[in-house]
Amino acid sequence: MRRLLADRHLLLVLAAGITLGLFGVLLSRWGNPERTGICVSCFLENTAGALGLHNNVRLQYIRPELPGFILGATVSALIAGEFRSRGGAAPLYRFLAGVFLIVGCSVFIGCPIKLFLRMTAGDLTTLAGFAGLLAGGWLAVRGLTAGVHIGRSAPQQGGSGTLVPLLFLFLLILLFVQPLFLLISTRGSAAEHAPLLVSLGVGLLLGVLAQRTRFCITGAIRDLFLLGRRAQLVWGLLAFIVTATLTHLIAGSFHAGYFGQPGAHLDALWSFLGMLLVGWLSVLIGGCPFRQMIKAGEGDTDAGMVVIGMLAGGGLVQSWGIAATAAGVALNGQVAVLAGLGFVLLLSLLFRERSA
Amino acid sequence: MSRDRFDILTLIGLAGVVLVTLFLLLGSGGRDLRLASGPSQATERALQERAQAAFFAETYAPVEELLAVNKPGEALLRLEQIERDLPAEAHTALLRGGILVRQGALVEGIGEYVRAVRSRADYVDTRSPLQRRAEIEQLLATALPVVQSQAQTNPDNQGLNRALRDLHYLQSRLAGGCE
Repeated sequence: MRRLLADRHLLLVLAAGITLGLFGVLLSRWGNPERTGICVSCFLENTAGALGLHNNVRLQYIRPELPGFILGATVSALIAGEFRSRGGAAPLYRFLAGVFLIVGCSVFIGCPIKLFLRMTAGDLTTLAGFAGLLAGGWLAVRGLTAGVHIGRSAPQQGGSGTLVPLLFLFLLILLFVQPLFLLISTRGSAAEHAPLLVSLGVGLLLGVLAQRTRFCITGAIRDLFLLGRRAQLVWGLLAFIVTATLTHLIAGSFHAGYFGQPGAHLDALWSFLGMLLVGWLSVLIGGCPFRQMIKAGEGDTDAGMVVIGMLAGGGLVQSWGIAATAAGVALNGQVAVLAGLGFVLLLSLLFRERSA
Repeated sequence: MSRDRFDILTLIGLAGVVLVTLFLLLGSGGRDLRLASGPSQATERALQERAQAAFFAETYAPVEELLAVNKPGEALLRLEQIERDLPAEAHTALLRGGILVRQGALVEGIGEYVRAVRSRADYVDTRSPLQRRAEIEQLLATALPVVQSQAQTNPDNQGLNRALRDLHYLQSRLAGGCE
C-alpha cells in the first residue's frame, strides 16, 4: 500500500476520482438537476437540443462542462506535449458507436458517471444498470482476448485533431454570445444549471485531471477483469465512489430506496441491457463517453467521431422517443437497445483478427 | 517551409474571408444575427405560456365555478363536454383526477393525475405557471400510505398495484432529475 501511495501517477488517479465524486455531487447542489451534477449523455442531449437537433423544449442548453472537459484535455495535452492528430480506425463505425452509446445511456437514464452518482445517493434502481455495465465490460474483455480490435489509428495530416476542440470552443462562444438561433430551455431539467463559470471551471479541471490520468469508468472495469486490484484506474473509481457517497451524506442528498428516486425508472431489465450495451461498446472502442471526450481533446479523431456520433445520438434519442422517462422504457427504446446489441455483435464479427 | 504563389494567394484569400466575417459580426454588433429569425425564442415562449394559461383559465372556468359551489358531479359532466372538443387534453385529466380523489375514487383519480403529468410535465415543474406540485405532493402524502397498506393486504388486486406504481411515478417526477 505504501508503495502504491508513493506512485505519483496513482495519486493523480485518486485525485481525479475524488474531484469527480466531489464536484459530481456539488454541481447538483449548485443548480444542475438532481443526481445529474455530471452526466455526459444528459449534457449531450441538452446540447443537441440547444442546437435544434431535437424539439424537447425541456432539454435545451449547452452544458459548459462539456467544452470544459474537451478544452481542459486539449490544454493539458498541449502542455505535456501529448497532443497528436491521429485516427482513421473505422471512423464511421465509431460514429455509429457514439449514437448507440447514447441510446444505451438514455434508456438507463444516465452515462456511467451518473450511474455511480445515482447509486451513491442511494438509488437502488441503479443496481441493475451496474450489473449490466459489469457484464458488458466482461463480454468486451472476452472479445478483446479473442482478437476483436476496432482498427488501428495512424497519425493524421491537416491538424484534424483540432477540429473537435474547435467545435466545442465554438459551442462555448455560442453559450456566451447566445445568438437567437440557440435554443435555451426556460423550464424542465435543462433550465436547472449551476452558474456558467462554475460549470466551466469544474469541466476544465476535470478535463485536465482526466487527460493526465486516463481516467475512465469502463476502463477501470476492463482493468479490473484484466489486472485485478493492481489496476490504478480501479482505485480511482473507488475513490470516486467513496467521495461521492460521503459528499451525498454530508450534503443531505442521500436517500436510500428503490421507489420515487429522481430521474429513475423501474424497468430493471432495460436498465441492465442499456448499460450492458454501454459497457460492452465502451471497452471495445477504448473508453466510456467521458473518456471519449477527453481523447477527442487530445487530438484523437477516432474519439472525435464517437463524440460527434454521441451528439447526433443526443438529438435522435429525443426526436425518436428512444430515451426512457420515470414512466419506463418505450418500445422505441427497447428496439434501439436491441439494435445496439446487434451492432456490437456485428462489430465483434467484422473486426476480429483471427489467427491463420 | 517554402511558399509558392498558390499558397500565398490562398493565404490572402483566407485572411480576407476571416476579416470580412469579423467585420460583419463585430460591425453589426450581432444585430442581424439576433433579428434573423423574427421574434426571439424567449418572446415566443413567453407568449405561448401566457396564451396557454389564458386558454385554460377560460376553457375550464365553468368547471372551476361548479367546483367552487361544491357540485363535483356536474363538474365531471362539464369536463366530459370539454373533452369532446379537446380530446386527451392533460388539463382535463388533471382536474378530473382532483375531483375523483375528493370523491373517494382513489385508484382512478391517481391514474388521471399520472396521465396529466406524463403528457404535460409542467405540472411538476417549479418554473411553470401551470405547476401543481403542492396538490400532487398532498395527494402523495395522503394516498401513498393508504394504497401501500391496501396493496400489501390485497397483493392480487391489479388496480391497487397499478395505483401504487402510479404513485411511485409521481414521487419520482416530483424528486426531479434529468429527463
